[in-house]
Amino acid sequence: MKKAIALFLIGMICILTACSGQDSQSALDPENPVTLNLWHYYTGDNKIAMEEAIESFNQSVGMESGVFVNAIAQGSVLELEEAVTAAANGTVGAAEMPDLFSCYPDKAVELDALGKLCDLNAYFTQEEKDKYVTEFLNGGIFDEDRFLIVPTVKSTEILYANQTALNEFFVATGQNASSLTSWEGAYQMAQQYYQYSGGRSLIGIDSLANYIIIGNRQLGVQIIDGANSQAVLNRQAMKKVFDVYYGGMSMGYFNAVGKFRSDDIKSGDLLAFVGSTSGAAYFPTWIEKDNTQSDIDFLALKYPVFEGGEDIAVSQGAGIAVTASTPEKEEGAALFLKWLTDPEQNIEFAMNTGYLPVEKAAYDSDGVSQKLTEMAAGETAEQNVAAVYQIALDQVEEGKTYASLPFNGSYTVRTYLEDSLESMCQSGKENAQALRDTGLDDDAVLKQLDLDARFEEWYAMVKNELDLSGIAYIEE
Amino acid sequence: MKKTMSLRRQLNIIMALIVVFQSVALILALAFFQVFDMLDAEAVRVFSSTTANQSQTLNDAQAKLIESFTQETELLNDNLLETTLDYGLAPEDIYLNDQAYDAVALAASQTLFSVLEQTDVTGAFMVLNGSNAKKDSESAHSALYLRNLTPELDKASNYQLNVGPIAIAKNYHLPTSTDWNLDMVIKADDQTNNFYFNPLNAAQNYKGSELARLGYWSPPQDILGDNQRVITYSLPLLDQAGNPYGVVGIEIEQSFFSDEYLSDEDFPYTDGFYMVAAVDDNQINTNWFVTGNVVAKAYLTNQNFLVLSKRNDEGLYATTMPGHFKVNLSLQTLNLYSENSPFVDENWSLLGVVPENVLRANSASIREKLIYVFIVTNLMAFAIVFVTMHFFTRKITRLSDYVKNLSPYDQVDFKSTGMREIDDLTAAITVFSQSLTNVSKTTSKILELSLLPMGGYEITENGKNVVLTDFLYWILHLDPGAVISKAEWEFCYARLTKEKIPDQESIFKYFDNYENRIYWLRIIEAKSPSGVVGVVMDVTSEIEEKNRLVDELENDALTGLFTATSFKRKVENRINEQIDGIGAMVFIDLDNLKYINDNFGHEMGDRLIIQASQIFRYFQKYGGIVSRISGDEFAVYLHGYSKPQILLNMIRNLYPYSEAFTLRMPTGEESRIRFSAGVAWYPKDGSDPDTLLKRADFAMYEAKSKEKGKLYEFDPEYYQKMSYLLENREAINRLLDEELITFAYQPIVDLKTGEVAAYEALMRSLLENFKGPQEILSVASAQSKLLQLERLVMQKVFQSIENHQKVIAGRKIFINSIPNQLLREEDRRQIIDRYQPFFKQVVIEIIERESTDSEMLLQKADFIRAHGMQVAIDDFGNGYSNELRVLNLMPDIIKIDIDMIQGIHKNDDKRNLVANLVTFCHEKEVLVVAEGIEDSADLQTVIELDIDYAQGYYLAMPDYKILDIPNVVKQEILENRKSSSEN
Repeated sequence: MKKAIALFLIGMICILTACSGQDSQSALDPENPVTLNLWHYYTGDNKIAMEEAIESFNQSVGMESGVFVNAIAQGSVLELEEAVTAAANGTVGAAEMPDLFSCYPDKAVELDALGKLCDLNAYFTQEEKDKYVTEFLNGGIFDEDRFLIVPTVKSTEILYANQTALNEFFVATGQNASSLTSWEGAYQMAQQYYQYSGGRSLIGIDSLANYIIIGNRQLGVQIIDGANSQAVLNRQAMKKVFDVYYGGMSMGYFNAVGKFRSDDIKSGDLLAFVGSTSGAAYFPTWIEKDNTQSDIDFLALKYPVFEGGEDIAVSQGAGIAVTASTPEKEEGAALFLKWLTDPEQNIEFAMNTGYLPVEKAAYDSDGVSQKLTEMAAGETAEQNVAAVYQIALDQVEEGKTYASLPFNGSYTVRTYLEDSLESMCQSGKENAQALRDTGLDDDAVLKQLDLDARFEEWYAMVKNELDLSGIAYIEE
Repeated sequence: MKKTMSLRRQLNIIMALIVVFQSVALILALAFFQVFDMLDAEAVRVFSSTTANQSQTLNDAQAKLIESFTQETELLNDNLLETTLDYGLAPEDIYLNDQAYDAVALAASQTLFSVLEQTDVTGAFMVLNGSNAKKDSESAHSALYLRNLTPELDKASNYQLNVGPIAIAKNYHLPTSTDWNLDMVIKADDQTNNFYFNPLNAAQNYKGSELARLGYWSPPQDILGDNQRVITYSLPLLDQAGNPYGVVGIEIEQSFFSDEYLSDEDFPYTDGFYMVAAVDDNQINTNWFVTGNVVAKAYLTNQNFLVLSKRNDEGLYATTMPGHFKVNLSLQTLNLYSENSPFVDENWSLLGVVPENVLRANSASIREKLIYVFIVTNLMAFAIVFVTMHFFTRKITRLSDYVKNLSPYDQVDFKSTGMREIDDLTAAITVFSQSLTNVSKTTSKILELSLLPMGGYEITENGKNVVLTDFLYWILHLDPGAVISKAEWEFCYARLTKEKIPDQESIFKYFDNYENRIYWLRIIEAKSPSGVVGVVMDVTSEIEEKNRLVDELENDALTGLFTATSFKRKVENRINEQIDGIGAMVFIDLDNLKYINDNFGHEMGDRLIIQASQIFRYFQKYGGIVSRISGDEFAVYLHGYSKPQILLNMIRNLYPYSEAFTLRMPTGEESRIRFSAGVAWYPKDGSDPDTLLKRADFAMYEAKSKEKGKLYEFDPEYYQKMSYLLENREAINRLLDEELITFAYQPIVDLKTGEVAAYEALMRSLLENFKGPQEILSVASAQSKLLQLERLVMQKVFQSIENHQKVIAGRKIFINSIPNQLLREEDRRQIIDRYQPFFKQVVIEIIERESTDSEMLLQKADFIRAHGMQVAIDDFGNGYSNELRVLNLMPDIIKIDIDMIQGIHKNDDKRNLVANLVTFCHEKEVLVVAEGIEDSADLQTVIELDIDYAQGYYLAMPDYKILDIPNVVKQEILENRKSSSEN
């Protein structure tokens, strides 16, 4: 009897120690794998690169640890955000929250307020966090300490140009590319190109919102002031930003025809555009000309700067956020993100498509430069991407990038700035065309358009919208 | 002897065997009818039919897709043929003309756009037989390829142009892909291009077939070289003659395919999933497969083949997935093509995959539950068998127990068992037992009639109970005839034999709790053939008589003399024998026992006592009764003499007689044995032994206190006076132990002011035994307790001063110190530590006596002064004191004795004496107090004599409270003072 009791006690002790032992270990179990849904907004090459990375993860680390990731493309950033918001709010007919999803800081702030996000501090040691480029990491940390977004890839914006076509214009007019370093210069060159080409546009802007925010920032204004949770409206800066774009677009010096400006290059509608490095692969090596392919050279230039402004370009790129759920899923998600951002994977995943790796080690070691050498020796398309990095790396390494610190509502500010200016330009364009049709020359048309009055109109619209949305702002 | 087994056990075994047999039969039945196999078969059937349903759904969806796409294709084809006609070209040559191609591309884009919008596909394409951009190239083919990037969302804004003129992108505001191109590269040797060649070849080989027959499903292939594996369905574009000039197709990206057609949402198995793959020869070729399960996808991607083994279960396969998951598969071949299709041999199957343990979870669970039920029912059956058998056999067991416990005196009364055979048996036994009982009763009666206070008992080896006779019931206070078990008897026997009397065979002292008296019992046991027989006899009267004799003869163990008790009894007897005789009670106390004991030990002390007893045996020859009363006290009683003188002479002779006896000390010297003695006379001093003893004791006490080692006769007068000394021996101890003294305060008045200058603290007993302080002192002195008394007085008086500090108001307090007593150092220290602050107001009165040790007196006075107290000489002039000693002591105050003061007003001698004393004292700066002022005249005289202070009843009586003197007296003093100073 005593023996039996002793055996029973020993058994109990073993069970207890086994239990406590397991507690301190991982929640993951290869015998009972977890499947994680990842929603992303990547399309085309980026989507394929992401899917390849995931497939590789599932077959290696994932299989060993019992984590399998299932990637689901949700269309554009906007559509992804709509889908995530619907899921988070439990809208009727909405899908369940994904376990991981691409997420911009603005959205993270909003979703965290709903308690939907996992604070990744629980799964990342300080050492692991320190691996990331400080600015990229800071972009994912909110409220001092909540680590909500893991930076996966980053991008900045540069100026892409069809060098072949541009050279023709330069040769004919004696201009050169140096004018493209400033917005004012770009505007003037576009004006001249319009005359030269008989009404064709020179330049386009992919992200109007970035143009407004970075333009302000170059002029020393943080229009999205996350630190104070407010918008800052500086008339002078706004006016400069407005004049270049509204004037350019209305007069047809600037343009936006296809869905993306790279499409406009392909169709020959534009010679240059400012856009994300992540679109590098979309920049063509040839354009369609008379039903055939016509080869072009590529010129990568820095993002233009307003005269007298600071040399700054955007730093952007959604990271990936993890939904608050079970310990297994959260831990699995963290495992996947650590794997994805490790230079070994990250360089391959990011750099094929013009993105920037996120860990310091990628830049410190030869990883990036080796990849660039490889790409420069590859096909034309790859060479183009490599050329983009010549500009982008300079921006990042010299710290000349800027990401606005978001606040709850800043996304509305951003969207509204873009939409309102866009619609202003739409009518501006029609008005200008009507005026031109009456035979007025460009200067007269511009005068008739009355940029000052239009600016006031826009400025008032912006203020009104901010008032309506209840977003705090100050005027300078 | 034949081996026996209890009835209950036999029945239990039979019933248990029946239960076991039933269970075995049930198990055999379950096995024979293959119940679990049937359950599994049912699971398999459900699984197969679920997969079949899914397969049907998939077939239907694809058929619908094909039908709708075929229609669109036919319309497009007609449209294109018309367009080519407009340009006057054969359809095969369209690509050669830029404008015609642009028009064809536009028309096709409309169809492809609408296909994307209306069907659940991820892409749609048209590929022509040559390239418009690269007209000379053999492998380049003009194509239009549109993709829906988000088929789930079904948003046209997410369509993308992968291949085709940029004009199409502008027209539909579509983005172009990174690998956007104008042509597709199609090569015949490239497997991935089957989507193009297969329908094209079919069209050539089966001319005139309806279009739907020529459609081809291509397994997932990366046809655009962008790592997107897509399933395609393509149809040829046919000219009027049925010659193909291109293909039109739709693509379904494989993950969308699995979402759309292989959703395991309705699949009722955890971790189960659907998969589409080609199955040949029980092998899945994993070159391609489509599944929504990422885990399976990850595991199968690195595997070339997955071998399936056919299970016995109808239509089911089993295999082990990479990663060691055992799964069962249900295989359904998909009907992708109509029977007359050239591609009908292409074998695509839908596989339902379920982990083996999940599929068979039901039967496993039921099997498990059945085992539990089986165990539980069997246990219950056994329990029921045991319980019912217990109740059944209990009646018989009870019957036998009843008979076993029967005593021979019991009335036999069997309870009916309800079983006829057994009831008949018990009836026969009842009759037999009746006759046995009668025989036994007769024997018992005979014994009872013998009238002896005795009883007997019998314990048989086999019997449970003990047989007792009536006497034993009586003495043990048991209900007559009650059944006494062996255990009970053992308890009773133990009680009876608890106290054996030593030196007495078989005699026991038994205390009867009920009657509260002692019995003496003789208990004798003897073995009988069947056990033990015993006799118990009451011998109380014999033993008591014997004990009384023994008691009377009892002597003092040490000396062999009578003890005090027997002495008194004997004395009484002697007096009673000759009541008119004369007797002498001699009380003797050894003088040096304490000394001997203290110095040489009790053994020597004992020898002294023995030696002394030898001396006192001297009286035995005169018929004296000699006793050692206690310790060192002896008593002798002589009686029956006519004259006391004879007795007295006899007694006095004891002293010379005793000189012959000595005690040899350890030091070697021979010590005399000394004793003091007292005599009391019968009947003069007392008529009973106790009184005589007490009186003789007193006489002895007198001797001891006056002349040790002498004989004193009892002196009634002295007894009258001093009896308290004896009587209060205890009282003084109590007084000291319980500190039962208090103080009365008598004012001492300043004769110059009339105010109270001081109080004298006068000791009072709280016990009534003492009439006054003097008695306390006397008893304490007699008991050598003076030092203790002095200590008590000092502690209490200081305590009292402390308590009354407020009313005393700084006035002096006179305290009487006991003569010849000097407190021990530790006691003094205690008083100094505690009461030092009061010392300055304390005056210690010391008395001079003839017997006073003058050295000690000086010492005392020094001590008093050394600590800041004052010294007063008390009772000065009472006959003991003299002026010389006063000088020696250097007192601060002299209190003139009451004898000198009382009547001073009418005694010139006293007055002169006092006047001289006052003069003398004042010269020496000694203050004078007149004690005992009891009338007005004395007071007046004292004032005239310039005495400083006075006390006495006339001024104020002592009181427990500290009081002032009456104002009248104050007035009188002041007036006297006034008149005396005037004189």
